[in-house]
Amino acid sequence: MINKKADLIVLETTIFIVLNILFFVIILVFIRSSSNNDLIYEQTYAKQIALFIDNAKPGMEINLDVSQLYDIAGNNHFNGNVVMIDNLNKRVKINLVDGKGYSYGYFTNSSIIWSLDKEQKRLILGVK
Amino acid sequence: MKIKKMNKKGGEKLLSMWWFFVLIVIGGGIFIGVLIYYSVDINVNSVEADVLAERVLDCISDNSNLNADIFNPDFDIFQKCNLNPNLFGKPSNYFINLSIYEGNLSVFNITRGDHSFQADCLIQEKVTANSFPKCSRKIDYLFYNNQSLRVVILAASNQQGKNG
Repeated sequence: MINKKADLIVLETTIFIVLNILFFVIILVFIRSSSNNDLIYEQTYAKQIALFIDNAKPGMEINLDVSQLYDIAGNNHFNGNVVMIDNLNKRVKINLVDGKGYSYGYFTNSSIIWSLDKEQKRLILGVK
Repeated sequence: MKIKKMNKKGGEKLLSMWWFFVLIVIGGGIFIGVLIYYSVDINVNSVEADVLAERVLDCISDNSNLNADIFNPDFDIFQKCNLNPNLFGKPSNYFINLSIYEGNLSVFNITRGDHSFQADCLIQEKVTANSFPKCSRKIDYLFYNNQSLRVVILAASNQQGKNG
């Protein structure tokens, strides 16, 4: 009878510890996956690049390090263009997953000549 | 004696309803907190309004002198400041008001974009409103015909990014 009760206590304690560990693992995985939220990086870079363009004067060339975008896109197995500049609609579009991406407009009327250096992971912008 | 007995019984029961309740409360709190923190929208409208105001001030001035073109009847602020005129039609996410004063007398005034933003900017000076456009006001003194004119530029932006 005593042995049976002791076994029950050990089982209960084991379940308690396992469930606690499981709970904290789930919480940590959730926080980690939330902090790798692609939308935040898409938003940040789209807005930053749009502000760079708005601030630039004709004749300027801007060289930006976009290695972080390539790293995230690589983790998502996305091989397309991470940055696109739509001169017609005057928008900067960032795409880190094979989906819709995020775009932000700029108000300058300048033509933007852009290219992506995939080896150096840099975005080169020329303002005309 | 009775209390001692109850505590002993309580200490043995680890997997109680209360323990699950505590886990749900802690887990729920962390879940909601993380979701709120990471779903926050990065708002750069105030920086954008500042850049717009700075751009207008820059294009109407030339070494502390007011550009004379401004009083020309054909003056086009979009062409002069290299701004996209399509963004300042109706509806618009932008607003510019350029006013020039000689003393207290207004000698020039031009408004482009969403005119309602002007009132919103005045409200924002008194209270904080999250969904309102963000504004930037620049005041400078520029020379024109040996006279110092006060230039006031109010710019606002309420642009929202697009998913897709």
